[in-house]
Amino acid sequence: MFLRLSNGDATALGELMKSYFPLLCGYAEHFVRDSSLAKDIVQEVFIKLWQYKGRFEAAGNLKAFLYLSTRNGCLNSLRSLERESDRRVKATYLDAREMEAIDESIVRLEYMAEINKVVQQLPLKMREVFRLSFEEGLSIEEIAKKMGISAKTVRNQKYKTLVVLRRHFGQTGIPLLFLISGIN
Amino acid sequence: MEADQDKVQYYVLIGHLIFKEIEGLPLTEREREDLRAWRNGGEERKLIDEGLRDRRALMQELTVLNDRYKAAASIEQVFRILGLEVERPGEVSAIGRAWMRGMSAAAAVIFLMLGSWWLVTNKEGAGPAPLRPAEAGVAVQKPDKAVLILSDGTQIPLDSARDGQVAQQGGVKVVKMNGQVSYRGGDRGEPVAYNTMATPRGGQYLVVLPDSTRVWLNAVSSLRYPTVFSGRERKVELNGEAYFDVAPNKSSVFVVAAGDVEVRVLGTQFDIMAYGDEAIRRTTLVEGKVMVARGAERQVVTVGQQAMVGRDSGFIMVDANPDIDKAVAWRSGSFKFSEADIRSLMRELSRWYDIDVVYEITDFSGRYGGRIDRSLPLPAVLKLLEGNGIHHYRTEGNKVIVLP
Repeated sequence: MFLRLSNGDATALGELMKSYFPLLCGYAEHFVRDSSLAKDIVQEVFIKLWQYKGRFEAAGNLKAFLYLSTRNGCLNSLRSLERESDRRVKATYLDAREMEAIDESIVRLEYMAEINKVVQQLPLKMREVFRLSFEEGLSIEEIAKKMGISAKTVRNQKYKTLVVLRRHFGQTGIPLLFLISGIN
Repeated sequence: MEADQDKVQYYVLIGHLIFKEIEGLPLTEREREDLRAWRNGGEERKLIDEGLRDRRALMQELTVLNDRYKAAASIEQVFRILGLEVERPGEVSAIGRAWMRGMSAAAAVIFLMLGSWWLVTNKEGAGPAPLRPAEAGVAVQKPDKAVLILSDGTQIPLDSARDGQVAQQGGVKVVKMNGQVSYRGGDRGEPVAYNTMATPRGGQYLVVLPDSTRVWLNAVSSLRYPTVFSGRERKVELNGEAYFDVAPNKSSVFVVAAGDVEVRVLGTQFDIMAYGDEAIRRTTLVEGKVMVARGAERQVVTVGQQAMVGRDSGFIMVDANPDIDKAVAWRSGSFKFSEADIRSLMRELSRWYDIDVVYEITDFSGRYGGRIDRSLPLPAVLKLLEGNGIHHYRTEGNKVIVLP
């Protein structure tokens, strides 16, 4: 993935953004608490990523770049807002302990990124079926009723999702997460 | 900063390992050890760990984030800013960057000469979008406005001067013909006199130097040069922006001084953008090779590259994949900008349309990309920008006020 990015493959950028954009915004929220500001900051991060012609040695470096750039973008925003003497912002000064906690949250965000990677690959209909079945624990009939489609269609969607997941996870096996959601 | 990088990478790794563990994917002994070590690192970590096993809460949080920050819209925005996708119909359309990479220098020169950039976009299959007709006002035919300043200070406005010889500098005749000025005659023994060609807002001019080098000046620019070149250096001074087509001369290096930046050339085609109010000076090479120097720093730039020199800071950076089209779009009669903020956009417009800009906005964070035909009258351009969601405008005589 990161190699494709270095070679200027724009679809690689799109894929990366699909799974990481919302999560990096979630990360930014720890600092700026304003969703439209978070959105702007993270967009800048991806713009910067695309313009960065260097090659990342491993996927880990690229992700670290994303989190660090987001954090820097947020801190810069906070600093410039402070300069415009926005009293609200002064209150968001973060001490070392809070910074540490925010860093630790990266673990959770990365976990969610792994899930999002797959979720984003599913077309909308499948995603909804998957979500209702897994998150709300609805049965096939309940899902059919809620979405206004036939039970047969729901079963179809679940099966197709399984195919997508198999293709994605290949030899290593499909994570329990998805199996437990009742896709079988 | 290094420590931060390591720390973040560590957490990224742990997140990945936990995912594998919870989802029942195989882990190596080393990985299991790493996870154990992480968990023993404190109470907060145990909480995080437990939190991750509550799948429902996890999915809910993920859904909320995906909903609040719809990736699709932002992807579109980012791609638009980077010039990676065709955007809305109208004269403003972004073109793909991919084609730039494969293009040879010779081809770039040809397309410039023909001024037919549409040829290029069609190649990509994307094609120019259907044009929204320009409204309000007649297309502007800008007369080639410029002022020629002789060595004794005499100013000759070129748009009103008649074709033919407009001045004499020693043995050199200065001739104006077909919208360009050229220098004929004179020999090595001439006492050196300097002339300056200056363009106002909205002006453009072509001057042919004594060695046959052609220089196209963009608006609000000036070029100071000798009426006769002699010696091992042919030196000129630039302020603003110009496109150079340098006549080859192996025994005399052509040098352009733009402030404290010097560009040394052998015989090539390039664009130098060095306006005082822009923070970065750019030299874009279309053909050949040049060397860009500032003080003791030097950088060689080869075909298809662009050198950027900071105005206030001393860096010289070479961009191997510049947007050449953007840098020389003015030569083929358009503005092109990508990831430009409203201020740099308005600066470009003010140089061409001779306006003063006043900002009544607080949010300068928007970034825009696109192409606008320079022959459009100003009201049409502003309407075009508004139509694309780029702020609102009010004009008061020569002043344009930018509104949210």
